[in-house]
Amino acid sequence: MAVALEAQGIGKRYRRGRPWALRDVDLAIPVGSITALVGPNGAGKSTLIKGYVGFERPTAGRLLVDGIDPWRDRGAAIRRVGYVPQAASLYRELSVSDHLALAARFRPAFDRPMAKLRLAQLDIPLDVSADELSGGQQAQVGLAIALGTRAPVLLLDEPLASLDPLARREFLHIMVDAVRETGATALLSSHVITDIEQACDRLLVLGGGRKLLDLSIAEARATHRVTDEGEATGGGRVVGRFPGPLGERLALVAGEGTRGRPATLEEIVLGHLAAGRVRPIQATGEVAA
Amino acid sequence: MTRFDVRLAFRLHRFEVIGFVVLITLLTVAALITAAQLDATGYGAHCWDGTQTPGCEAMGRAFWGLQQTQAPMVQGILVMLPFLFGVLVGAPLVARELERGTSRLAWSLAPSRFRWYLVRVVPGVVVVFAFALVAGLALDRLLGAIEPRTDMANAFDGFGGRGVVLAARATFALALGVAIGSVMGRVLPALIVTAVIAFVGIAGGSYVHGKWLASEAVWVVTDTGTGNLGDLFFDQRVRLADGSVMTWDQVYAAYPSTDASSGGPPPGSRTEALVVSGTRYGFVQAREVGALAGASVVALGIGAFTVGRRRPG
Repeated sequence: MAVALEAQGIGKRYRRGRPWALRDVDLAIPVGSITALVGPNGAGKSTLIKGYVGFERPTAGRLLVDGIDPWRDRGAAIRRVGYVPQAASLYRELSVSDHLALAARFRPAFDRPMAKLRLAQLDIPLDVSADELSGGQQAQVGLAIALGTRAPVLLLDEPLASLDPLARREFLHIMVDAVRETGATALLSSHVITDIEQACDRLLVLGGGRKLLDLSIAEARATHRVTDEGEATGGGRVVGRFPGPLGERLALVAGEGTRGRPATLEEIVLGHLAAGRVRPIQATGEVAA
Repeated sequence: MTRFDVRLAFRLHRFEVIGFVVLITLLTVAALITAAQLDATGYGAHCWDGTQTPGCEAMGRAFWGLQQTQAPMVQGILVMLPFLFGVLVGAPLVARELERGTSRLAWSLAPSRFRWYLVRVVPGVVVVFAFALVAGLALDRLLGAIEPRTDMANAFDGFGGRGVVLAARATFALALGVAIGSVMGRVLPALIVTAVIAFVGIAGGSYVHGKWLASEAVWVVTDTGTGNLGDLFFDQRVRLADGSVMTWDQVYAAYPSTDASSGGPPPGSRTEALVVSGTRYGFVQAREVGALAGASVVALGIGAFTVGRRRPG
């Protein structure tokens, strides 16, 4: 299995004496996958993504993008990465067209026609300044820039956070289409589990700076079931207990011969977060902050 | 560096750049007009050297009227603008991108942050230096008109407040602002800290340079007692007819005023002045510009190092 993004015993602490933002995380994200990076606030999602872009220096271990350590050879790592930050981070003084020119200035291989076409399909005018765009449009410009780099790795740091449901769906649709078309690898962090369920094929759950779950979504669905708390679990083990939407107590169960109904992705995440005892959680489709 | 880079840098900082460019241009024009008005009074060397022409009194009234009202006002504002220009362009240059988060986009696209840094900083350095130099040369011209007997190329009059030194000081303020803005990542705090540190740095540098110049000064005998026109004056002493040397305090202690005498040095005494000759102005100016250029390079280096290592805000 070719690996696009790797983490080897990664640890990050912002200051000596402070808790670890990331601790002992090992990862190997295969080429061509779209991985959902899920966890509550403070789980280490942004820290991990920023580490891959060379924005954060690991305190322990190392990160690799296509085998390149971004902290040792940031230039080479950056060339392999398209990054969409949490906030669109556009220059409000510049037009959309200027942003594409800026991207082309830094990345000679930037596919400006493709980026323009994507934006035209979304009816985003090129000649307006960034601060005239809605939040959703700004996110789409950010995505168009990241996709235009033709980078083999896409890192998306909660780009859906400020978008309405329709804009989220549109954003994911474009992202998934582009990734499938180019064979790129994507790592998408998000609070919104229901939205990424359709888009991603892998699930990576972080909690309290540690990796709680890392496997394909198909495998996750196949190996997890949900029962009412206290109900017999068959041969499975209880991963974690969490409240259901009506306040009932549910248990996430994993393993061979497990009883209960199939678990949704949201329940799998909630169960593992509960097991990690990282934060209070609620079953509302979002991991509680 | 392409036209796009320059255009981008300009658009990101257009308000402060346009504001200061307009102000400096207006004040430069005002300085040149004032200098021309001073010249036009015709009040020149012939009115001072004892061979006064009949029109000297009228010319003098016009000259001193301008010299004491309009000229100092124009000079006072124009001398401050390049420094403020340097601070107000330098501090936000990197800090604004960090504060607004646009550095996240730029640094995720730019394989080399150093190149990104150069693209941001070089146009700023060029525009601040160029317009500060224009202001400095205009002030050279204005001071030349204010002191028509003095050759400004060989005079310490207005040292630091005119010519290329003014441009170097403005560039230093910009470089310091870039470094502080890169470290702080916030525009307003960076502006305040830069203004204070740049002011203290320039004042401190001038003090140290002054001390250095004092060590290079020599005693000369001149009619004025303060050296020749354009000399940098530090001290004065009295050489008595017997060759001994006294300070003025010692002179008045030794030869106090009496009913019969007004006191002061005995006949045959000469006044000596401790000065750096105005002919050394070019060298001293080059030395200060060199020191400021070195300090600016160090500050810009600190900015580059910080940008290379820090988080994007």
